[in-house]
Amino acid sequence: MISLDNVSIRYGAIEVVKPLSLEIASGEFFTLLGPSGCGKTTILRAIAGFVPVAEGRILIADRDVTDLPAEKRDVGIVFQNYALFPHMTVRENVAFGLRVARRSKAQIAADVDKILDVTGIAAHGDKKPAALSGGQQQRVAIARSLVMGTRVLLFDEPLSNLDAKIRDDMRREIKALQRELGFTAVFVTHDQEEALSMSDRLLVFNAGQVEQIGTARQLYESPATPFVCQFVGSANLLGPVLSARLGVNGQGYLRPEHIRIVPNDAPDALDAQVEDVDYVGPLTRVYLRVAGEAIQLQAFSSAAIADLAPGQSVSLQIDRDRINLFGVAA
Amino acid sequence: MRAHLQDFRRSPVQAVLFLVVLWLAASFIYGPIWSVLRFAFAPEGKPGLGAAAELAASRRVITAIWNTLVVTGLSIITVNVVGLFQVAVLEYLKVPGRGFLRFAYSTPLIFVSVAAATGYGFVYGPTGALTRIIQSIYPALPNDWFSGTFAVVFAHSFLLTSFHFLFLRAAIRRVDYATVEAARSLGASNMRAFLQVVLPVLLPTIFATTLLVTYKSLGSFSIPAVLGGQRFDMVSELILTLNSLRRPDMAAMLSIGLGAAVILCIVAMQYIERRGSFIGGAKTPVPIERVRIASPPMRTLVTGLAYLVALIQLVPIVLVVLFSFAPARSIGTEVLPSTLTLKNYVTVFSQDTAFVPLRNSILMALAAIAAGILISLFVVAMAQRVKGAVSNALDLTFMIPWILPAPFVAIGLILTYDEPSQLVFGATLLGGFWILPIGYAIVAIPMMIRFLRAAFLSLDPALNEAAQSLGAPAYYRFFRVTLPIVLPVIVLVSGMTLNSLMSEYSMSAFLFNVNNKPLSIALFEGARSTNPELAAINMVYIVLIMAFSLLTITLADRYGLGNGQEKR
Ligand SMILES: Nc1ncnc2c1ncn2[C@@H]1O[C@H](COP(=O)(O)OP(=O)(O)O)[C@@H](O)[C@H]1O
Ligand SMILES: [Mg+2]
Repeated sequence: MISLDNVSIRYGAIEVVKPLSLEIASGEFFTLLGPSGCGKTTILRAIAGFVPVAEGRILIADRDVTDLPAEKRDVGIVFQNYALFPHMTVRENVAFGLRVARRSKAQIAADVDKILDVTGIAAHGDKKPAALSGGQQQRVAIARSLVMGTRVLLFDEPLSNLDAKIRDDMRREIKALQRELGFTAVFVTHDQEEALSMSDRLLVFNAGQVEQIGTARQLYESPATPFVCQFVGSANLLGPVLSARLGVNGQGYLRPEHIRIVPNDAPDALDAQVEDVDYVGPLTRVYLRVAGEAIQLQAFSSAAIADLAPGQSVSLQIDRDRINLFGVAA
Repeated sequence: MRAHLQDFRRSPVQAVLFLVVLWLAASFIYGPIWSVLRFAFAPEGKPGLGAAAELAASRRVITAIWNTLVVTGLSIITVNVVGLFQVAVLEYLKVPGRGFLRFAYSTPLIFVSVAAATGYGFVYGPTGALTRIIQSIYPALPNDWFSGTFAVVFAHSFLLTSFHFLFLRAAIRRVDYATVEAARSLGASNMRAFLQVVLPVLLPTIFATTLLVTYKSLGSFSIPAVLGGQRFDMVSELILTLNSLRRPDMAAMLSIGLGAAVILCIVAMQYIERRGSFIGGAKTPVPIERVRIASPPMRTLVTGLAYLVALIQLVPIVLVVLFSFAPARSIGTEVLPSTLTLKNYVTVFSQDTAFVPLRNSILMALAAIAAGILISLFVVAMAQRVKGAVSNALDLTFMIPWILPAPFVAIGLILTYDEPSQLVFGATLLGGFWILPIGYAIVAIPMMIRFLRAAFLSLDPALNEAAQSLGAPAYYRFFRVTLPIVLPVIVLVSGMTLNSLMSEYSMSAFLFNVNNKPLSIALFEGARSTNPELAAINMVYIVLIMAFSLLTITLADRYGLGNGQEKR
């Protein structure tokens, strides 16, 4: 549906996006994940047509749109702050594109009614955007693009302005709309949890470069680079002592949930000191030291773990086959 | 430039508009500036400083410059004394009747320029009510006691306090009272806390306000013209005189001098504004608590003074309003009118000679506003769309008149268009209707650009992009998204401009003629005449101007935009 072929993007002399190739399938929920400032928005804006590419081609539905202005691309975009027209009612906002396209009045009314119904904002048609909640505004923004029959919808961190609680609902809502209506979604976020929970596939982006493309499980379980390993979920970088004990040759990363506290007499156990214990409801994080090297453990909360006290000695067991190994240590 | 060419290739309409705006800039900004410089430094085509030498040799010129400096120096002191006192009474001290005092102290916002000067003349002038009251007690008082430096400084003291009212009050509200309490808890007295904690925070604003007063006073025109008397000149008025004496070289040179002084003020102001901006105070300041003056005699004195100042500001306005409803014969014979009538208003709206100036002013102001808004919109929108040197240069070009005093621009227009000019396809603009509205537009555009630029900058670019991704082409986006959103600002700035042009005097005095005599000139002539009929009509004019100002300021407040008056 969308394909980028060796696309690079520059602001002046700075190459913000290094040559990037990418295929996004029709109906796919595809996410660009990466830290702030890595170039996610830039890619999205290049697809939408607001940023010219320095090199490469962009194809949407098999049409080369590289040189087309944004208004001719038929790509919808949901902005971070939704960018609803403040002087128009919800209906007028949604009808905007249809008016531009000079559809008949009856046609416009029918299309708008239908999409307002689908997106569940029919009751608010005559309100101004300022009178809507964040979630409702988001629905208007989506409806405004979908009513045009747009098959591609771009989202630029649309949830980052919402409260944690509402954010969860809106995630599922976007997902549900996408599944129901079958549009192709390209979603930008810096929140790894959000990315993992929503996407069919993700692209992890860092400093203008692709780190890895894959499904959530692929990224989490077999990260291609140390960056992915640390950015998607959390991971302990094993220090020299631990590496030697575990027979790891290179840069080894270990997720906190792959470390367990075991009885003292367990075979192969490592001695560790508890530094601190963070109880966060269902999970408990334990900060430990093994031969002076910091390591972090995470487990479901239980009396045994929650009762650990700083200074206490414990024994650890490590899932060696879960260590992610990258190159030879520098 | 490349970006511009691209832009023009996309839209030929833009290219044509660009050329038109370039022509306007050349004809009405650079042309006049060039003329002033040419006449000042090379009157007969060859360079020389003859004009400067002649100015320096003229007693009258030296006196006028001296008067201007003295008036400005004294005004700085007196306006600050009155203004600071007002702000202290309203915001720092507990004085009874605060609402009434605030109303009285706010009147300089609507009682401005030639209207205010005429009002003062009406009260303090040779036949004024106050003059007659004083003479009844003290018969030796000469008729023209209210004239010269004294009259001008007095008027300035009570008419130029609007900046204090607007900006200093805002600044004192930003003072965090917690800091005052902290100082008190560390053992400082109330007075000491004010001097050492509150005052330093206010100082940048006080400086900025002082510079605004300096700027206004240096260019003061209508107040000395109406109140100064026949034998008293300040620089602006003298430039007009030199021009009418057919000494364009000297007029040009003097307006350059005035321009230089004014520019110096503005540069200093901007420097202070920038430096003072870091004094933001607390995020959520505790509002200042007004202090009750402890000593009873002191309290009585301050209260008395507060009401005296209010009285001085209100009496001219009250008398003007009353006499606008009085038969003409009661003017100059009665202290307060004994009968009231609507006859003067009927005269203004029915009699041609009385109505024409009002109509002229409205028409010329509307024409200037329409042209000004169109030009400003084009300039600001282009600067937004295509960033770069060309856009910036155009923007700056139309901002130039902001730093030039009106007499400078007026002299420039006169010198450029007193004969057929190629710039306007061989027309002679001087003596025609259009030269004055052109002048109005030139001085109005900078404020329009400032407001529109702010509006465009605060416009979320995502709105435009959203419209674009929905398929809307550029012109559609401009008319359906951008324009409706900035429309309130356009309406507001138009209202403010109309308001200030209704009593515009400086530009008018230079450029008016029989075809376009504006309200301000009619007011001035009425103020100079001894005909009570004219005086009565003047009162109506002033009331109309004040009512109109009140309306625009209220609307501006409602919109929550600006402070009712441009900070200029
Ligand atoms: N208009 C611009 N001009 C110059 N540099 C820009 C511009 N927009 C973004 N950048 C730079 O490009 C990089 C990527 O920005 P962006 O795509 O917004 O990152 P993200 O969305 O991942 O946070 C950043 O370093 C940013 O400073
Ligand atoms: Mg971004």
